[in-house]
Amino acid sequence: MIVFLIPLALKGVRYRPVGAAALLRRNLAIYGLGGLLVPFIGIKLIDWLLVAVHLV
Amino acid sequence: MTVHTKTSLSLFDAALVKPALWGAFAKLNPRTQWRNPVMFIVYIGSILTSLLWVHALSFPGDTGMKPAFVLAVTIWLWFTVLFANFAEALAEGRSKAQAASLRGLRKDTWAKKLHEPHHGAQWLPEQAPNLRKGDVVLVETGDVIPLDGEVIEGVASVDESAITGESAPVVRESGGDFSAVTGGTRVLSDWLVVRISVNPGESFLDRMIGMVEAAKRQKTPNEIALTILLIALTLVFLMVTVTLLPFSIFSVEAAGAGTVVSLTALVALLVCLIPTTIGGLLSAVGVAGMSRMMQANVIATSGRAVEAAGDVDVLLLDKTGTITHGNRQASAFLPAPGVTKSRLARAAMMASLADETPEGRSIVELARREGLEPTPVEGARFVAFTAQTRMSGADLPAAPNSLDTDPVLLRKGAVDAVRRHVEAIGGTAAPEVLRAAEETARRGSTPLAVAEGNRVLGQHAAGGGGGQPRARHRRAQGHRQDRHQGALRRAAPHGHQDGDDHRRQQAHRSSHRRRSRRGRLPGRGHARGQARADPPVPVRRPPRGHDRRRHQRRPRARAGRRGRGHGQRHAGREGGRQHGRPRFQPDQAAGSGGDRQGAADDPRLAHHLLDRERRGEVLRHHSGDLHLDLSAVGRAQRDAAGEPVVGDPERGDLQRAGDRVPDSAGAQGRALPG
Repeated sequence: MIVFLIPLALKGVRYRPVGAAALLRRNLAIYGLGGLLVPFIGIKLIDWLLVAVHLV
Repeated sequence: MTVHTKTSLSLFDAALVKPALWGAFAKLNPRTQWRNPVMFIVYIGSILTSLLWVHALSFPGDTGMKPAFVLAVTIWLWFTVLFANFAEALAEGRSKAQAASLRGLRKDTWAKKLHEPHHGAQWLPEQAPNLRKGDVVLVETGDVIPLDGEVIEGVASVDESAITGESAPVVRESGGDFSAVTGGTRVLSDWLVVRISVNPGESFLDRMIGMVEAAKRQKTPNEIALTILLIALTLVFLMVTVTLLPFSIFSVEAAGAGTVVSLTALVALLVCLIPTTIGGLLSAVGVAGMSRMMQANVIATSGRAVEAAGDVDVLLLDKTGTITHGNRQASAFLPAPGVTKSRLARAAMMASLADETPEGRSIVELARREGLEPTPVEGARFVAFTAQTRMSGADLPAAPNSLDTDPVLLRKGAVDAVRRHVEAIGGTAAPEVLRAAEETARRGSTPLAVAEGNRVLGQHAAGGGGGQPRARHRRAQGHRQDRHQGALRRAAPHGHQDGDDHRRQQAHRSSHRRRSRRGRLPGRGHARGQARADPPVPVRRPPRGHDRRRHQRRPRARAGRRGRGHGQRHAGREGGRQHGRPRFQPDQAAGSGGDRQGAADDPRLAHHLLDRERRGEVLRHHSGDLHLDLSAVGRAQRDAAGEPVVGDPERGDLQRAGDRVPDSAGAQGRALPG
C-alpha cells in the first residue's frame, strides 16, 4: 500500500482555489471514500491472486 | 528573495532514487525509527518475525509453522518499513536538490586579495572559498563580492537584487550604516575595498541554504495531533492482538482441539491493523510540503510555516524601492546672498540639462516655472554623477567676451561635496548657504548645492512634497563643518563661535576640561576667578523623599543656575542653559575643577607659567577647591608635563635652561619638589 501511495505523498494534491470546506469535502470524497473502498477490492484481488498461484 | 528553481525534478529521478534507496537502509537505525512510533512497531515486529524465522529454521517442527510462511511475512514487514523509509528519504532528497540549486546562487569566484588593506595595494587572485575572515579584497566594476564583508574604503553602487530583491542598485560606502556588503552581489560601478567578515560557510547565503536544509524535521501541530491519533489506534490494536494469544491458548485448551495462533500470524495481523500507511508516509508528506513551497519560490523554515502558508489569503509587501520608486522633486531655489534667484535657477538648470533622473528633470521644470527657457549651450560638456564625487553638472565654455578662457564649471550635488569641490578650486562656500542647507535638511528635505566656478550660488531644496525650506545662515568654518550634524546642532545655542570667544562649543569645552586638569590656571572661561575666590560651598543635600519643593526636584533637568549644595556640580547641557549665561553661579564651583580652566586655547601662551604650575610651584592647591580625589593615573595625568621629554613630575624634574628666568618660581621661594 505504501508503495502505491509514495507518488501521491510526494506530489501532493493539485492546488485549487476553492474554500476550505469545499476542499475538505472533495478530498474526503476522493481519498476518504476511496480509502474505504480500495482496501476491500485490494484484499479481494490479493486473495484471488493467492488462489491463482495455489499458495493457499 | 528571488530564487528560480523552475527546473522541476521528475518524481523518480535516478539521481534522487539511488541515494534514497541507501537512505532507506540507513534509516533502519532504531534511533531514527523511534521518531515514528507507528513504524517503530512495525520495525519491532519485523525483527521479531525474523527471529521467529531463524527459530523455525533451526528447530523445524517445534512451532508447527512452516518457515516459508514466516519468511514471507518477514519479507512483507521489512518491505513495509523500507518503503516508508524510502518515501521519507526521497522527499528529503528532493528538498536537498532544491537547496543545492539555491547553492548555485553562490558564485565561486576569483577574488582580488589585497596584500595591504588599502586601495592601490598589490593584489593576487584568490579563490573565494579560500578567503578567511579578516582578509581584504578589492572589488571593482563588474566583480562579484566574494563573501560578506565590510567596506573599509571606497564608494560603489552594488546590485543586491539577488539577495534582497531590491531592483535598484544601492550605494555602499565605508563608514556609517551602509558599509556592509553581502557575498554574491555585484559591484556595478566604481570600486570597493572590502574586509571579509565571515569565514566561508558562514555567509548570509550559506545560512539561508542551511535553513532550507535544516528545515527538514520539525513536526507541525497538525502532524503531532495526527501522530497521537495514530499512536492511540496502534495501542488499541496492539492490545487486541496481545490479548488474542492467551485467549487462543485458553480456548484451545478448553476445547481440546485446534492449534494455538502463532506469533507470526499475530504480528502480521497487528501490522495489517495499525495505520502503517499514514504513519509511514506522514513524514514524507511533511517534507514534500516544504519542497512544494520551494517550487513556489518560498522558503519554508519549518513544517509549521507550511501550514501557516496554507492559511494565507492576502500577501502584503512593504518593499520600498522595488514597488515604489524614489521620486525626488526640486521644490525651491534658495540663492546665496548677492546672487539673484534667476542666476541660481539658470545655473541649476544648465547643470541639470543632461541629468535624466526625475530629480534633474524636476530642476529644469522648476527653472522653467521661474521663467527660464532651457537652451542648450554650445560646447557644453556634461559631467555625470558618480558615487565618489556625488556631484553632476556641466562645463560651459567661457563667455566669448570675457578675458578668462577656462570653462565655467557648473556643479550641483550634495552640499558637502560641492563645498569640497569649490574649496579645491580655490573658492569658499558662503556660510549662509551652508547654514541654509542644514536648515533645509532638518526640515526633512534634501538640500543640493549649486556652484558656478568657485562660487557657491546657492542651493535648491528637493523634497517629496515637504514643507517650504527657508534660507537661514550657517557657519562655514573649515573643520567644524566636517563634524557630525549632532555636534552642530548642540553647538547652536552657544551662539556664534567666531564672533564670541567665551561662548564655546561643547567640543572645545571638553578639551578645556582636559587641559585644565593639567594646568590649573585661571582660565578665560566665564567662571574664571570667581569660583576660586569664594569659600568652598558646603555640600548640603536636600532632604530625601517626595516632599521636595519644586525647585529642589529634578536638579539635573536644570542647568546653569542651580540650587546649591551639589558636590559634583554639573554645568547642565547646552539645551537647558540660557544662551550666553555662565555655567555656574558665582558661588559655585564645579566639583571636578572643570571650570578652572588652566589654558584657554593654547597652553603655549603662558607656557612658562604653566610649567611652573605643573611642577607644583604655583597654585598647587587652591584653598577654595572642592578637591575630589583623582585616581593615581588621573593625578599623574593632571600633573604630567606638557612635554614629557623635558619634565616628568613622577620621576623628578628636568628643567630647561629657559625656565630659570628671573621671574621664575625660584624667586617665590618654593623649592622644587624632589
